[in-house]
Amino acid sequence: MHGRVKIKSTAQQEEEKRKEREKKLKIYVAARDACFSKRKEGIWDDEALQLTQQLLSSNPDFATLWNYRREILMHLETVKEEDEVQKIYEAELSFLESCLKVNPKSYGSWHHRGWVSARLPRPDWARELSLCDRCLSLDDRNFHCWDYRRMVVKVSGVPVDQELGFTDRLIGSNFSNYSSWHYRSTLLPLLHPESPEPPSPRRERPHSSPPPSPQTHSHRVCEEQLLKEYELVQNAFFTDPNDQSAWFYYRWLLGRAEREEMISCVYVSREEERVAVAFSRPVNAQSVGLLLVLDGQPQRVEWRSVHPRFKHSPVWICDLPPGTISDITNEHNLTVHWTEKHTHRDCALYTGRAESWCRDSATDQELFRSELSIEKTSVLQSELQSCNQLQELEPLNKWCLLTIILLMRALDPLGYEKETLAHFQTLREVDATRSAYYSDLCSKFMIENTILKMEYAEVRVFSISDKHLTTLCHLDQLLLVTHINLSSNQLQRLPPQFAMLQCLEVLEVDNNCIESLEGVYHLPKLEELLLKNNKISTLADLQPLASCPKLKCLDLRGNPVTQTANIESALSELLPSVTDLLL
Amino acid sequence: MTEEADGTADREEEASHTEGQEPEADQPAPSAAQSQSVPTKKKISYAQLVKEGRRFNIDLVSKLMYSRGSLVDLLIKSNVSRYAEFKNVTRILTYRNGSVEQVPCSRADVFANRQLSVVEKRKLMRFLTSCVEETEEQQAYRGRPYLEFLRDQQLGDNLQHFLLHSIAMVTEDTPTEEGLASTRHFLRCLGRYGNTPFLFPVYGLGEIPQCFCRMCAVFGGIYCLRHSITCLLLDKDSNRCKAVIDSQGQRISCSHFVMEDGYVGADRKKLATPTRLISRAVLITDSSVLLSDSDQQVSMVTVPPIAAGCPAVRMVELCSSTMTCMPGTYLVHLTCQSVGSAYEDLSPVVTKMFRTAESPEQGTTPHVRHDNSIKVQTITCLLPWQQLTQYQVIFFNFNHRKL
Repeated sequence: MHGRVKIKSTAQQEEEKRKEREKKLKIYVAARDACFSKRKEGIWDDEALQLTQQLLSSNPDFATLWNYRREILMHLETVKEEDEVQKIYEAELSFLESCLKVNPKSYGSWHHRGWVSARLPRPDWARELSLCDRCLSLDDRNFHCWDYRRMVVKVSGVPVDQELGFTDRLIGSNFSNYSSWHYRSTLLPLLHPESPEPPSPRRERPHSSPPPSPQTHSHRVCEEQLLKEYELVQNAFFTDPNDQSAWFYYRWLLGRAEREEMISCVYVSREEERVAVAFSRPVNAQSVGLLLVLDGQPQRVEWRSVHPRFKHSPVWICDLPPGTISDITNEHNLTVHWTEKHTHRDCALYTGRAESWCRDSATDQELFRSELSIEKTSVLQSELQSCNQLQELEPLNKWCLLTIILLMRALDPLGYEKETLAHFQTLREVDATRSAYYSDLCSKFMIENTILKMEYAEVRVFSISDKHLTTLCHLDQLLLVTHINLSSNQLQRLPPQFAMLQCLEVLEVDNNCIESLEGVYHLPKLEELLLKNNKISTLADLQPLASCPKLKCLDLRGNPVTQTANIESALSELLPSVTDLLL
Repeated sequence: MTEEADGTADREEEASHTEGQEPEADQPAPSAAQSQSVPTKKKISYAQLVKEGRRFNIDLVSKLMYSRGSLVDLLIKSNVSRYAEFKNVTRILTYRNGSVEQVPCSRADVFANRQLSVVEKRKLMRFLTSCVEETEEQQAYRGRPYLEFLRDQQLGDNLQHFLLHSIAMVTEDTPTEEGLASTRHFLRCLGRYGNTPFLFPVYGLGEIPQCFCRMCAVFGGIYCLRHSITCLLLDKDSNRCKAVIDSQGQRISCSHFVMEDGYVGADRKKLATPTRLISRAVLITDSSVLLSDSDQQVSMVTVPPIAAGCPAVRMVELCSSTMTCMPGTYLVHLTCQSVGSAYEDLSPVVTKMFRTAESPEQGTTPHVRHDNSIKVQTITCLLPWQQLTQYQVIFFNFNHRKL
């Protein structure tokens, strides 16, 4: 009848759809096969362009077809006039625009566009830039577009201040955008670079130090501009403290100092006839030109890292030929040269002394302030004030708390210790899913504080007990420590880095959750190891202890391993030097 | 309906007004004769306004539409929206401490605002996000003034002003539940079409009835022009209207007859409609009350009461791209509840915010219509930062029904 719509049954509709799809698939496959066969035969003609265009408009991610298309275009470049080539490439660009509409995040399309723009006889960079503007207005996190924009800016020489203005606009309309903040961070140092400072004379350096490398300051921004940036980013995190991007930008602004590269400590022991060298960062001694000079004579020595697992390590050891320094009546002068960095460190071994060392104190180096220390104290203080202000308004905001902790660490790690611990506690409650991260970070800060206190007390005893330690770090700073007390914490392992503690004599780790003793490896002076109430479960776990020649006292009470059959005899076989065994 | 009806011929795309016209440009600029580096705009004369009269669409009633209000919903539902275009109100302003300030209502506004301290920004954002939900604390303030509620939230004077006058748009006595409802409505409407909750139809409010008429015509409605009804025929028993007689003597039967309230005398009505008087003023100005990067801004301005007992004045400033005024001018509508005459209610605000040119030769030309008093006057007053503005002021007093 007229005017009545025939309603097809669902089954019929399904069948029709299926037929549609099949038909489409057939066309697609035919076209694709045609393309492949043409390519194989090396045919580069208009039909090929047509076919690839047809396929790519529905599937812009078909990389092989883009490749084929590029081959065709390159061939056309050789046979056509420049004006024609210009036209062809411009048509290509508009084709690409339609592809981008289908999928604005297609690798193939963006790459091809970049390729075309580079080959265009007369490129129109302004148009490319406006395309980027449009794409970013639709999705301001499209990283393909950002990369393309960076390329266009670089090639066409768009002035930096114009791009900075672009980030101003983006951030003004929506500041929750990592990409714009990040881009801003790359532009600012170019436009407002920090004027190079003379190297800081804050510490006496008995040995020559290299001038600060240019890289140290190239990513920093001049102070005037920094203050404006602080204002901008403060506006952002006060308006919405839950937006992460502003907080991360803020941390970047506050800056992370780069540690000067040097040898931080040299230790010599007559008994083992051994030299241990600690570096400011992990190195591969074999490749950095490490040279040991004893009493003016260069020595041929084999440098080894503290644990076979490490090819790069902050601490390296070498053995001197027997008899070289064993006579306690002799005085010796050692120098370790790090030839690659033109730095060295001297160490004098006096008569009557069994050991000697030379190191910079962690306090002087402001070692643990490197997280956020480039800024002047006054600036850090005022930033801390602002953050505290925000914290009063938003006591449960984790970003604010974390930033406050970092600022306090940068200003005065020991002075703010109590507040830091309190804030960590709040953090663990407020952001329970990341409580392990906070515990580890807190452990790191506790270790740093203990190292500082140890230095003030001028002792070689390191003690952190009952402080919920979950992880160990900065072990390279503990090279000289003789006694360590880590009892009543939550440590699960003594990692291989523990082997850096070359002077360790007594190790107390009672009441933890230790399962692995990998790091108790070739500790030459270790005599006493207290492991009561831990989780050592098999004999194999105790294997590393066999490498410690002086181990006499071992307390294994309260560990599952004590339930192993014949444990006593097994242990006496494994660890013959141990005389005091507690099971 | 609009005062100026015919605009069909002039519906061309308005030439874009580029900011910062260089005097050295080779386009024929009216200020080409100037030798100074700062381009000064030539004063627009009254004659010019009259000549370009067809570009003006001056609404007798000044309204804005909430983006999630019943009118917008109706326009969408009925599809009438496709007959009209709308523009976002681009900014919300307020008059405070002698100057015009922008009211931050969206997150981007709050971020960009330079007047608020960071702490105030936090407090404002927190309040705006929290007031969307009903809390017990809010219940405790039932019946008490909204201003008191805001004060107790430790929001400070700045924020209280913004929230009370520009966001909730209530008075100091309005109870909390009403103020909160109004605030929530405002916030709900943000972001639907733009950064503010309001829309304005291009070519003015007169477009809306025209669009409905168009829709009606599409569905077969018949329009009789230049006809009026001289009397109604009522059925004796049911007292319902069953026919009308038009001015040409023709009788038209009907089952329903719908008409505007004002055509019937009070004695004839079942329910007396309460009346309220509203004072209105319309200005044509040559620059915006708040200069900014773009000169094409549609602004809603709230002027809080200058003294106790005075009404709050709402002002809508329309740029030329709304097609309600000629390029280079702005159409400004002022509205407030009548306390005295329109002149008494509104001229203090006008004097405060606008500068008028002294033009003694034009003088006061009272031009009185038969059913209401419309005064067309040219007034001069001074505003420190505006250039000299010449404009016409029309004051009306209306018998407006409560809408």
